[in-house]
Amino acid sequence: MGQMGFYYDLETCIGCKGCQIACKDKNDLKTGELFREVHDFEGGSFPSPYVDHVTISCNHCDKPKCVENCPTGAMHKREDGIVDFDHSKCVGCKMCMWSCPYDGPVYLKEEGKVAKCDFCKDLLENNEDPACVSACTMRAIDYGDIEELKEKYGTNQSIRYFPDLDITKPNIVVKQKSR
Amino acid sequence: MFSQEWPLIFFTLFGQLAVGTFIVLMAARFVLKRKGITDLRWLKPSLLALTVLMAMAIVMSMFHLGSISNAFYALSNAGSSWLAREILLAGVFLALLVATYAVSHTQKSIDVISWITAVAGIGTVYAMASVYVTTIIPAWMHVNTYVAYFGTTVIYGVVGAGLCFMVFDRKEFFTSPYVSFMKKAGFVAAGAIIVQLIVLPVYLTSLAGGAPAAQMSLNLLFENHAWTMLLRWLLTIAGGGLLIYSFYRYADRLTKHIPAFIYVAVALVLIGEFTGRYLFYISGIPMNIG
Repeated sequence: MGQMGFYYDLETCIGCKGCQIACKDKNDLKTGELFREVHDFEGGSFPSPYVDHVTISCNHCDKPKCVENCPTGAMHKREDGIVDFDHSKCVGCKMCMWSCPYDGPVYLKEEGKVAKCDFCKDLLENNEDPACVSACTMRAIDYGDIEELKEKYGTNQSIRYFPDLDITKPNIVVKQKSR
Repeated sequence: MFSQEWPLIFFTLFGQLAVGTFIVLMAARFVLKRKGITDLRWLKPSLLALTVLMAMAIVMSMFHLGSISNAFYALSNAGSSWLAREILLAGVFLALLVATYAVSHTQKSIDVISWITAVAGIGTVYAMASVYVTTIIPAWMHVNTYVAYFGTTVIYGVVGAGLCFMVFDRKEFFTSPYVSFMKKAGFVAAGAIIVQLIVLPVYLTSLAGGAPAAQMSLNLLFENHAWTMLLRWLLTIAGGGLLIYSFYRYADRLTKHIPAFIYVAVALVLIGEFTGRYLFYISGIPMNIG
């Protein structure tokens, strides 16, 4: 029961991509395959230039279109709210990739199947933190029950650089960089 | 990325050609029957050709899959997935085509089975479009997708039916009842083109006012493919116009000899619609962070 989610402190994030690398290593991904990606944005002009970093993976949404549109049922939502996938059922149709506005599902070319962030469910079972959370040197990523995260860090109405949150209702709390 | 979509271009176009042609042929059958014409020599070979075409469409779609060995799971989530429904309906339509072909060899009427097949065909095209409308790709999440898919179905249907008459029963094709039917069918196809052209500015305007991905799609269409877009409509309109014109101007002469421009006109329509579908897939830019 409940709903797992992530908290991102983008004010603190320095864009080191440690989370991205730890995730890639944990999932043994090939070149060009990322379950977590750090996007960098530059803008502004002197004297107020800015660099923003946005770390993102699967948001284990309340209304996951990937689950709704997956023809095989390989993509599914667990009782703890994690959007998981059954690798043995995936037909490699990429429908989930057309259904996620966050690039959550990733096509693994060698396998001809799609995979994604599973919240490091194996680590969670051993009471360990997800790889991205452990790897973050700035402690900018937290995780847990989304209601507890909202209580601790507040809620977000809309987030800079993010598609409309109402499309899939992502389970994330984001502290935006103030500007 | 785009090279992966070729199988889908062929699946949707072949599928819509099969559905459209079947419906127009059955309409022709109905109209001709009312005029007392029941000896339809084109019927059986056309049904066989459509069965082969639809089977080819389904085979083409398989090439889109990364793990074909898991294809049998692809119907599991038909409760919520339009892709599963599309696969299911395409399979049902093919099975019904086979059934219609089988019944056409018996003494029984194909009236009932042809109606059921036509409904399954329309359902298949609706599901095909819904697959794209329910994505997070703004260029596809628009009523334009339904209009384009059903538009192609009608246009290809009329051309496909004409080809079936021409190939399988040329002698009868240029007799008055057939010419009269094709004239009317030609105007239905022209209507399908007009509806698409009416929706086009609404669609492009919605892209202009949409999310960043929508605007990227619009930029891609206008900056890289403006001529392709223009060509897409010119080909379909020129080909379609030429075909309709030929039925008015040359109907009496066509019985003896079919001039090359008829084939060119058919090719123009086929290529025009193909180009439209190519643009549809190439403009599909998903929403993302940014």
